[in-house]
Amino acid sequence: MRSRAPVRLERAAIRLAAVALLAPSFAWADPEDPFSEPQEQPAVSAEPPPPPAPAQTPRYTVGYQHWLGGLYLGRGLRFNNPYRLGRVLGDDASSLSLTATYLDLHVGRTFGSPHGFEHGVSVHLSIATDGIRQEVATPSYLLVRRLSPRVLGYARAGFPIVLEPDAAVGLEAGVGGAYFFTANLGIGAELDFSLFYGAATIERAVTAIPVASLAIGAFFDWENLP
Amino acid sequence: MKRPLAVMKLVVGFIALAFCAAPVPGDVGGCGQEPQELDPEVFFWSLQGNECDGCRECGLMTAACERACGELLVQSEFPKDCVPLVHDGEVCLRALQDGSCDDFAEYMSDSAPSIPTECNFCPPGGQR
Repeated sequence: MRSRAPVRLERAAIRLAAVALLAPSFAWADPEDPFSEPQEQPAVSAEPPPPPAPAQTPRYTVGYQHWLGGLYLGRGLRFNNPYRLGRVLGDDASSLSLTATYLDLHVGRTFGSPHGFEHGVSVHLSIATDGIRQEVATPSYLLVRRLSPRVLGYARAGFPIVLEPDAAVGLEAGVGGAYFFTANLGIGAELDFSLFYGAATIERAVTAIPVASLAIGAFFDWENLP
Repeated sequence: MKRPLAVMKLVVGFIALAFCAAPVPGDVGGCGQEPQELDPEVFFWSLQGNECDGCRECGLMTAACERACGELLVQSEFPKDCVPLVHDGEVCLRALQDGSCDDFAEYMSDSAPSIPTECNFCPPGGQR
């Protein structure tokens, strides 16, 4: 009589199938399963893998604020001097001359993206430290670029307004930079080219007085990262 | 040794340029100011008054100080062919007011008097 029980060969096949189903390295094992073993062994390379990039704080545009400021001391060269103002350098009193030393207090703020060039505004207040009393306020358009974590460069263009002793206006453009010793504080310098419009002479209805000036001092920088 | 010297020269040059070489242009006047002729009497009375004030404040007792503080106007006309403007006079008077006692001692010296460059609008032999 023939038995219904599976033969030895069939039982062996069933066991093999069960083992295959439970084995983690089975062909259709879930690849995202943390417990699954990699299907292919990575090739062993002779060189160590490159170190991962250092973590960086993301600089977002929304809510980003960048304030800059400084206190500089400077002096200028006047290229026209129709009223023979002091500190004449040449033989002719109306030729090249030095301006008074001035203290320059400025503050600025950029708007928009912190990546690449930053656009903003700044206000300078310059006060003569010697000679006649004089103050000049200069609202300016400001262009800022961080060149490295420690170095910042900027350029500006504005309208200097002479407040004292006689009201006058002019045009001004300047470039500057700062090197930071700490995250907020550094040393800065600025080179400016200004054109002031002065009182009339017999020869000219409006006199133009070009001035080149250089100022150095402490620079402050503050960024608010959202 | 050459590199630190070069760096030092660069730093010194930079600082020298900053402190010897602004946006403060000086007394250039207002851009709307017309070229108005300066009244000699008004100017010389103001000049004399300023000089007298300087002499008193600095305790100067020179003959020039005595003349400046006198009742008579020492000079009442500009030299021939010299036509200064109102701003010439303003610049001169402000420069005098800004002068120190050492400056005044030179301006009011009896032996070798000098004047601020701002007041030299009628140079000898020159024309304005």
